[in-house]
Amino acid sequence: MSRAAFLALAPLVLVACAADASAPADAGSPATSSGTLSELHLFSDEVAQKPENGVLPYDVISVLFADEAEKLRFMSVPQGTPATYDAEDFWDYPDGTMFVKTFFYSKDMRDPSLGRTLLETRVILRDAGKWTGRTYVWNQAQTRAERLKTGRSMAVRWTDKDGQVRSLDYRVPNENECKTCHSKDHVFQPLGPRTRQLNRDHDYGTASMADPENQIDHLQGLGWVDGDIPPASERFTLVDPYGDAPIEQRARSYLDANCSHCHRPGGEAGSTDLDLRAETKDPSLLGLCRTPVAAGPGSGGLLHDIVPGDPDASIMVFRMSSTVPKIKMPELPTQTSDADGVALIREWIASMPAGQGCD
Amino acid sequence: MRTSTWMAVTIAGVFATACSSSHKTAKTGMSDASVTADAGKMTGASACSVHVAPGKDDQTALQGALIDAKEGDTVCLAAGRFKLTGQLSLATAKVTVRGDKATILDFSGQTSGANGVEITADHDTLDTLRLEDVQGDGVRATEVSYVTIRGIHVEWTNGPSSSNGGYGIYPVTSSHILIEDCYASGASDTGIYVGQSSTIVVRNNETTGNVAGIELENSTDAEVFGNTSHDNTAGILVFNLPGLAVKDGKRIDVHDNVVTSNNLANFAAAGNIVHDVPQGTGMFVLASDDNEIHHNTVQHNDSIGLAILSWYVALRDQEGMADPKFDWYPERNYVHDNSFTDNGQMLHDNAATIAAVVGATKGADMQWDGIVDWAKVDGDAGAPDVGAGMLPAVPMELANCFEHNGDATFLNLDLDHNGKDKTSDVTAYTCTRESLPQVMP
Repeated sequence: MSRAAFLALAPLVLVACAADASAPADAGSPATSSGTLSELHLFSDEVAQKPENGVLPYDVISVLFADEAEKLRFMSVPQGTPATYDAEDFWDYPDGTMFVKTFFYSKDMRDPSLGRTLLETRVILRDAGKWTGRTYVWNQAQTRAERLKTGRSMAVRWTDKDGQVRSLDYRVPNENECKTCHSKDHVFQPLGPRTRQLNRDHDYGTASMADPENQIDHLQGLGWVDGDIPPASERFTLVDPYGDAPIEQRARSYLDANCSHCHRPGGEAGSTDLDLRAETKDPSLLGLCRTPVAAGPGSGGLLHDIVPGDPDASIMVFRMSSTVPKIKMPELPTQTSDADGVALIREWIASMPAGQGCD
Repeated sequence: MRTSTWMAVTIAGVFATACSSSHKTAKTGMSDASVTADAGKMTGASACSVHVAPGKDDQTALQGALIDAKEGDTVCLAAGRFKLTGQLSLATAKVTVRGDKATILDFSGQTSGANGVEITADHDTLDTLRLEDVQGDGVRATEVSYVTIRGIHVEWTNGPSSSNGGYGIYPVTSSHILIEDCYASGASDTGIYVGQSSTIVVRNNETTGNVAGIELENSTDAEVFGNTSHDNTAGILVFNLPGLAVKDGKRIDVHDNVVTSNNLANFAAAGNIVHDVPQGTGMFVLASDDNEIHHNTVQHNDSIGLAILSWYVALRDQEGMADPKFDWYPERNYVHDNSFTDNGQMLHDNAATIAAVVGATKGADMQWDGIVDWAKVDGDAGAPDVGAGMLPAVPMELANCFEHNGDATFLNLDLDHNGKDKTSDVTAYTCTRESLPQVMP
């Protein structure tokens, strides 16, 4: 928050004390909001989500489930200061880099041309060697997005891909909660823009013979990334969890994208020693026959994270299926369970040789 | 000297009940260490940078204040009931969040987030808050240093229930943590639980109505004193568990605590390790070395007063074997100058199971399972043969010492031989060790 905005807060607080009433809570007040998305000059047409020159759309391979919200992703790296490639871990991006993700629901997912409802645009930016995250919430009129630090719920309705009318209190996380997922050793990190997630083709909408083009090759061509970059086929890469790769790879790609930001060494849930990154090989670190340590009611009375061959006896399935805050996984910020993800993990666990079980 | 000082705390603690009142009571007539604590409180009682009072949207108001707080700020919460719908996240270093004795954070309407207050920054302080009916853990602090949790009351108001949150106060993979003058009740795992951490002081707290009152798990260099743990399933536990990132916790100094009547039926959800802790446990040390247990008052706990146990007793062999770096044996623990009364007279749960294995019908004030890791001293030779009906002397580099515990009853279960040579004579296990140094959080 800017110094000016901070100072502006003071009189409101004094009023609140004198009247013994609530601290300011409206989205428009200085305590909770400062700035608009348009101030970042990311879009030539913000409502249509048309990026400005120098801002590039991108996609990831394995998508983080967000209550079925759809997402548009953009990135911008300052010209002349390429990021440093890393085969497995986070890339080293220069100051001025921005990653942008807009969450929306199509009014009717069967026909996107019927329009959409923009909910929030999250921006991660690097400044003075540090990443920070911001959240901009779209107004009801869908004309502008304003920064909201404290998070909120937003009622949303849509027709899903099966033609069912759905509704939800979509939850915009508060800016401290960004850090819960976006951190390694308490250092804020962007999660998606890594080799494993970017190594796929993207249609850049140009007439070039090279389009669609591999995203990392494209970034390299732009001078946005540099380093010892092997050809696309040799890069450590996730697979589409709902594609046609073997179940093991699909399930592990899902866990990498949806769980490993916390369940990894140095992650928020690193103390569990459950390591759900795609590169993890030790079955115990993946949860096979592993007993809960600090799950409390999250164990659901079950004895092991994963019981090979038995999804119903596996705490992982139990917690992924729950919507109760103290039980559900991931903890934040979804309100619903990912039915497709649960089915995928069930299929994976069922496919494991049962052997002796866990006893 | 330290001992006499903390006896005073103990006595005060018996009469004190609530968190904040126990603070004041415990400080009366105290010297040195307590004065330091008070001085800490005085200097910590900084001017409020911002005041927040209950209103129409407490979640936004409070979380907004925490997000806007700068290093060095103190966020003051007025008396009254804040109705929260999600967890509160404190992610800026050197921030104090201070309430009034009548400040209540009511999480009964919580629909998101697993914790009450989550701390992810160093040098933060939580002071004088009452948390009610949190979904999951009351206060969770992850990978932080120099955090103080003082005067925090965490309670599940419906009483003991397996659907209550797991932990009242829960620092994990952290260091230099001070937890004092707090109260925790109703946790379905542990009231005050320190996991995989180092340099910890847990003092002058009250825990009651939890499965475990206080537990230190895979933690090193902690001082646990002046606490009252009563009417939980288990009073105070010092654990090492296999399969965790931080291993081999040791040097926990547990002294001058009052551990009374921890006879509550175990209500932890199955799967959790504390689900296996017997009803009626005063204290135990599980697979942890170099701890000192002294000057505690341990009374009226049905199954166990104090037990020193190897991982075999957990009856979870497979988990132990899955972690090759895990050491199953408790060694060099020093149990001295405690006052035991009326423990182990009515066995429950696993305590009854183990007793049946060794042919015992009652427990004792002090128990040791008798299992020695002879491989540490003689390679693969095993226990020396000293003749039928005799147990070999335990080498000093491994021995747990029991000394000056008044007329406390003792039982070496000789679990290795299903109780064949079990003994209630403590003479062979009476020895002296050096005391642990004071821990400065």
